[in-house]
Amino acid sequence: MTEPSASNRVTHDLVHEFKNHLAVIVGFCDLLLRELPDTDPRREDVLQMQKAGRDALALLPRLTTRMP
Amino acid sequence: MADRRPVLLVVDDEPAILGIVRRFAESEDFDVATHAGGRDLVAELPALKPDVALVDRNMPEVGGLDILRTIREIDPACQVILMTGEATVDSAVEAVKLGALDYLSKPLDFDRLRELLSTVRHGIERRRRLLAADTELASRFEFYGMIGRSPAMQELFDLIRRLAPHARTALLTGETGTGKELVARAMHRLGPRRDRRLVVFNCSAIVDTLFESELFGHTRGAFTGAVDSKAGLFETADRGTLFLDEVGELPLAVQAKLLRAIEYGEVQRVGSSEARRVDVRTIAATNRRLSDEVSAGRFRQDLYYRLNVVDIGLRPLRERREDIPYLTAAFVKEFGERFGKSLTGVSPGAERLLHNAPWPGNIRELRNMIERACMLSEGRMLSEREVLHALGGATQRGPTLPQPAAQADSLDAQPQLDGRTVERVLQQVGGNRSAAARRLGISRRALYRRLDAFGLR
Repeated sequence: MTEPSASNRVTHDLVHEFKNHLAVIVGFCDLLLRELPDTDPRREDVLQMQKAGRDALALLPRLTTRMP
Repeated sequence: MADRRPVLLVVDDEPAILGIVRRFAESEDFDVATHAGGRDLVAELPALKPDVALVDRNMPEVGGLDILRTIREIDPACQVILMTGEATVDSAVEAVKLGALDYLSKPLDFDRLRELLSTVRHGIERRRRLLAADTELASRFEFYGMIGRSPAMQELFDLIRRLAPHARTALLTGETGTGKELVARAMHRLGPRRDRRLVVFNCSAIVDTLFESELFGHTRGAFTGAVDSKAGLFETADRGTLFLDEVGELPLAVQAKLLRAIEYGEVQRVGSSEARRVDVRTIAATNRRLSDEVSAGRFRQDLYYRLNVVDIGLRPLRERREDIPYLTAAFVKEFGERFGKSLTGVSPGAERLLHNAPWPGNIRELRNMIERACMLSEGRMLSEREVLHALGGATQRGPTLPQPAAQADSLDAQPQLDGRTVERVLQQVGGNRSAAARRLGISRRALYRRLDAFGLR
């Protein structure tokens, strides 16, 4: 295996950073969903955020596997 | 202490993650401490005493695996869960091999984390209940300061109960540290002389020339230094009990007088021609095989038979290992209270160590070791490390000693305690004979006998 190129490493680090931020977003969504009562209408909003965050996380591996 | 909340330590370089985990774990009834990195953690661990740690694997300064290793090293009772952004099978296997409880990927799956925290909580509660149960049982199996659930000990207690009201003399045999003095005290307390004095005399702690005057007293001017007349221990113990520990160390000349005192209740102060009458129950103890001493001509046969009328044998700890958990629980409770530490017990690894140790010094050694471990302990449970450390202090200093260390005090019973060993130990302690005897687990007199036997004196 050759040394990863500089640009690949930058991509890799960026992906890692993104993942961390998304984990925070999803984590707080999870917390809110635990804390909001079942009848609270805002649950729907939080669920949307949580889903968007998870979808974004799911996209990340595709970025790294496309690297040469 | 019973309702104290378990402590979770979270280590992550991302403050938001620390916040998330804190809020989650607090709602699960954990106390939460957070740390932004591995630096300084080592110094703070003892004060934090976490029950479980959740550690990020990838941090800039100190990696999560190193933190895992450190925590497992310092406080094995603390479980460690690693978390990572990029979980792979290999890294998970590596973490678990290093002793991690589990390996979680981020974002954290709260359901999984909740399960892990409840596993930890149940573990703590189980250990706490076990100690409470062991302590409770220990008190139920306690008999005048002796603790034993094993059949051997229950039989012993029964024997003492039956003999104590009647026996006028008794011989207690058992290795060092098996509790011979406690048996003597129990016999005294359960006997008709309980309101009278129990006088304890250790025959190995005195020089040959003073035995007689110690035991039987002396008149004024009987020998140089005898400025006053003085009653001997037999007179002091009149109508009570005299406990002669390590009776095998008595010189032959004194043995004859001891026999007379026991048989006829007559003692004569040194320098006096007048015999005094005493009424003393004599309990003698030895860690040697007195029958061998008799064959070797070192112990009077008639005295042996007189003492041997009632012979109570104490089993070494290694032959009743089932008592170790109860003894341990009782000692942890005792020393935890004495040192003001809220110790709840010992870790499973420590328990295994205690169960398997050879215990040449028997219960006294176990008790001293627990005392040391309690003194050193930083956690709520004696860890394997602390126990190992304390054990090391007891037996490992002289690493050259044979493992079933020296407690039997006769030369024949201890063939592996050869001249070379004795010489080496003497050298290690710079020729200090008291220290050498202690290290060898024999009395000073026994050491002198060996030095003579090996021509080292």
